Amino acid sequence: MKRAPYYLYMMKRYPLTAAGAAIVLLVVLAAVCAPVLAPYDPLALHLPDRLQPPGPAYPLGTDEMGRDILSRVLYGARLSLLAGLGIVGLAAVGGMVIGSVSGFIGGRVELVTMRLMDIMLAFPSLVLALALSAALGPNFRNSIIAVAVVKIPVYVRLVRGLTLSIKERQFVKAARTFGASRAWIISRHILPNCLAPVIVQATLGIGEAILIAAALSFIGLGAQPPAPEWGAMVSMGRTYLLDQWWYATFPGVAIFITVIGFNLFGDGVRDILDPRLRG
Amino acid sequence: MEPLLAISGLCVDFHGYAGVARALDGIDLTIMPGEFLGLVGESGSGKSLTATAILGLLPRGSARIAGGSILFEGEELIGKPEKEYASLRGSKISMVFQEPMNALNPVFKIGRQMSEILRIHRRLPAGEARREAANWLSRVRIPHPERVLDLYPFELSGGMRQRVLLAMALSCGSRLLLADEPTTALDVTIQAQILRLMQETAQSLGTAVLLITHDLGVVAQTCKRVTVMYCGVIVETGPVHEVLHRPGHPYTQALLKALPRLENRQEHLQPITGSVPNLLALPSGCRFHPRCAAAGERCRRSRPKLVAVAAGHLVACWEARING
Amino acid sequence: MAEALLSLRGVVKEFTVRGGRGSSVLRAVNEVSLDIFPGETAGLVGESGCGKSTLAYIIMRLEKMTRGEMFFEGRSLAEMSKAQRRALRPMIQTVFQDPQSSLNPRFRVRQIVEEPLRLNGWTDAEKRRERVLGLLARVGLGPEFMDRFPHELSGGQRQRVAVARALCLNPKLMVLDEPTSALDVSVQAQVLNLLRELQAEFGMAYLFISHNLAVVRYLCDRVMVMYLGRLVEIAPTEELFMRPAHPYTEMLLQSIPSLDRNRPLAAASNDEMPSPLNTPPGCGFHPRCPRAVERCRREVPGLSAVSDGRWAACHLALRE
Repeated sequence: MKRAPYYLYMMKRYPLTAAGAAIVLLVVLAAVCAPVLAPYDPLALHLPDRLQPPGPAYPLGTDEMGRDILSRVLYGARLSLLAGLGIVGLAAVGGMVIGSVSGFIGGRVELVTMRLMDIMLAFPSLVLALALSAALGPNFRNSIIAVAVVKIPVYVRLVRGLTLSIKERQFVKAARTFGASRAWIISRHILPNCLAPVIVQATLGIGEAILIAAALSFIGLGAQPPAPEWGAMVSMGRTYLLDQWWYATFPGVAIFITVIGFNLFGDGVRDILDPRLRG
Repeated sequence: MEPLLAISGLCVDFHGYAGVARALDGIDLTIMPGEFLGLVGESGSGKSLTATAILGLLPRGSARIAGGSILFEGEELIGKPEKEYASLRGSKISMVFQEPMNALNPVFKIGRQMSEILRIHRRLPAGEARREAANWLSRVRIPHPERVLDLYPFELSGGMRQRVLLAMALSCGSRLLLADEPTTALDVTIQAQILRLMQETAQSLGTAVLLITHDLGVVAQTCKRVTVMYCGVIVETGPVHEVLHRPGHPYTQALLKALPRLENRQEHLQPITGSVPNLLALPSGCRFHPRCAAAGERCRRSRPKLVAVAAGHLVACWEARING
Repeated sequence: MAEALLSLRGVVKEFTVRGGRGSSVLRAVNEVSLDIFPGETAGLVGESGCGKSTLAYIIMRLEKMTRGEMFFEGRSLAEMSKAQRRALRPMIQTVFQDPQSSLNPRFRVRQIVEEPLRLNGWTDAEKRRERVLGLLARVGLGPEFMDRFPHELSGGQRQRVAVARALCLNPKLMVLDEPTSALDVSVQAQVLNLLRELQAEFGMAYLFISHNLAVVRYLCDRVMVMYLGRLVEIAPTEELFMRPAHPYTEMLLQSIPSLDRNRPLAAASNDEMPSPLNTPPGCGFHPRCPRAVERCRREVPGLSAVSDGRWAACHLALRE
């Protein structure tokens, strides 16, 4: 925490990033403290109070089964964060392994890998995620895996490019003169030096990941009812949109705010880390 | 005769999260028209920063001029509106950098880049601009100038690129050429050619040159006067042969003792003990005193001013003593 | 005559360059033969494009030669088994040019210096720690440097860490690739003095690669000059500087701006070194050579002895 004055200084210089960070923090707090903050159990039914507008008893209203929307939105933050972090985490790790190995070894391995990645990137992410998700079976966990796989090529490309340039740096050459094996060089020299750009890419990708996961749930391929997933809630709320506007609106706003927050924060992270990367 | 450039008391501050660092502290520098002045110093001395300040190109937001004045042809440059400043740059005051690849746009042909400058500063129509450009290329002794105009920067060697930059810098009536380590990235044999070219061309045009470098040998061969900087201040200035053969400041003396000579093999090189201080934690008084063998009580307490020890030879040291 | 530590015979290194109009062959190293003797400091000088870096990489075995032979302590590398060749690695260590990029920015100094040990069978962490502390002390860095990162060190300190790392495995030959070019004058002196002391203490041979002839004069016993992939002159240091035999060496010496000489810069020829892709026929230097004759255009001069311990690749070299 010696770096605290540096971060404070950075926050003042980049107010939008600070705003993004604040939003992210809020969402994380909502997710973590949901049991404390939520007035009701998100799965509890209150059938006599179905489709109530926002009021003193139910601050954000209720859905068609009488479940409190506020509580569901708060708990939904957990699912969305899990999706966002899970997806970029898996994609980043997969991408780092594939990218560094193919970039370092080169030759045919690299050629085949990169063409495969090109093919994957040729498909729109949502379509590919849809297909994979359907193939794996419609549930929350599978939707995360599906989107992660679809996002891997982005990280493979990034890490392979980094590997190609890091491989030429003198400290890698030095390691070869002490007799380092390829595995040693990749794991100790190349991957740690890829971390910063990968983290930046991942932070920028969280927003989109959350959106795609929500979209899958919206279609019914992700989280299954009665899970309080925002996308699923928006989907259910569509039917009631005209008269019970609160049902679809609040989860939708939650998605919107969360994604903006992560995007603003991610943009700033790239700018802040960049000059420091150059020492 | 009026000085072409007169800097007095220039102070530049850098603002960072860890505090304010005074990178230039009270710089006084004068350049007469047509003069060839060398500005030497090691890394962190502030020599490049001085050139950037003259051009008004300090990074906005982190660097700020905290005092002093820069007079060019009698006009104050500090605080000049950007539009006026921009018309000065590239025409009356121009610059040549260490890495020509960074100064040339890789996606435009040489001819286009040179013509652009001529059209902006001298308002020449396109056809004439191209002819002038070819003219200038042959002036810097580039063979087949017409062909070179149609080449991209990457198709030229380092030495050629530097000649192009030189041509660009001088083509619009430059009165003052700032050259920041112009030959450091070049091979030795090319370096000699470029330095000689700079000398001759500047002389024929009457352009003054401020040659910024860390290489004392280069200064010895090309400059009439030299100014030595250390840690943001000027420690010595005077005629080249005076300063290099009879240095007055302990830093200059130490620098010369640490330099391996081409002429004869030395028995022993004398390194300067210690290291350059962090700008945020400057020593009190004279900035060099912690590393100085001759440091006295006064050196710790107050910063010495530049004082004449011989005609035109000034040294900023309380214990100044001329060594042979 | 002492047996050579490292010998190269007829080493050639070619690169295929894919240009816009098909590929061409770039001969970075062209029939180089040299010897490095135990305990000596041999300098290798030349300008960019002369092939000295490629040659250095071949010696460090980071690049494979296209043809030629390399011998270490009399044994040919081609005749060794893979394991024997691997065992050679600790004997030849390197200090690279850029202290910023030769140290992994994410490693602490401790990890940087102990890496060669870890890769060569030093499994005991405590023993490694001791050795690292000892090496750091030997290069003038106290134990407080163990946990620092490269970005917290100055250029000179980084270069010392690189030297400590190169000393780790007690090499017999240290290749120093422009080790002080990126350093300030005052720091350069410290590192050069350190290198001298270490050699006196450990007795290893140095191959000192540089374009700075003043530094070469200070440090080296013998100097080898390269031009366009060939060795054009080999001589003991003082003789090279006082009586250069090859016209290129002469041109090099005259081009260097110096403090002491009171003459204007040499009116050096206006040409540049030709691209290694397009080597002139015959002697590579003849287009720029003030003394070139017809023979120079036709025949490539080989390195021939000019006097005892001196060789020059020039048809017109002075012979004693």
